[in-house]
Amino acid sequence: MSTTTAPSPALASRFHALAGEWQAATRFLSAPSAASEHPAYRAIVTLGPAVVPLILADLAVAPEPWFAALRELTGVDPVPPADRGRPRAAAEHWLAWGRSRGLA
Amino acid sequence: MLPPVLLAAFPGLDADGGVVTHPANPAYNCVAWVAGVTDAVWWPGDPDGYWPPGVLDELTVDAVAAALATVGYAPCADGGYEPGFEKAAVYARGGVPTHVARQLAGGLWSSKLGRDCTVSHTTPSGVEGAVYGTVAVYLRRRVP
Repeated sequence: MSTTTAPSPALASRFHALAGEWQAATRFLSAPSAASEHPAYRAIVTLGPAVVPLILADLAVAPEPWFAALRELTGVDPVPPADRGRPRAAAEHWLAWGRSRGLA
Repeated sequence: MLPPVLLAAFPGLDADGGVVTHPANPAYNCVAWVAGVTDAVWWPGDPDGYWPPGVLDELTVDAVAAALATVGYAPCADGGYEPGFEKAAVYARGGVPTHVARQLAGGLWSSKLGRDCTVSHTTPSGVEGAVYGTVAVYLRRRVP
């Protein structure tokens, strides 16, 4: 996946609305997978690969559990097994991946 | 005064003396906090969770207790304060683990609430309710 096309304002607005809904509904859950199963999270994934830059921008602010969505949307996983379960390290791997493709 | 979002999610927290002690931080969760780790999310059976090697990797209370055994915790009878020990409370809803709280020196409890903030509370029941269910098992270890 490689694109430098900026997400449309409409897509960004939809993403931020869903992300806010997801954050509010799952903030107290202990399990990353429980958060990624929430309907708002699933709705973000259905927006397609165009939301990847928006997710990476969010990830640059805080290491929220966007990793499942990124894997689904890109078909890759740049996080080595040694950093599984380490959100800050995982976020850095994804941001490096995004920067190398002009997505972050 | 606790934020409204906390009062809504944990109706018993205010009456239990709940105080926010650390701001929101998605870099670690409750199990990691109890294990003394602040750069990982410990959760079983999860592709984005860390789980200690060799420990039963399934979403059960027994698995959570086994993971915390790797840092010295063993089952105990209750959450009462015992000088020389620190305790942990594993919460579950419908038998599925949801949360772990740790007892601080002096007897107060500390809960890292998902990706959100950390709160202290007087008793384990302070965060019981719809989100985390109730305490399923207590653990303890000698104070390191």
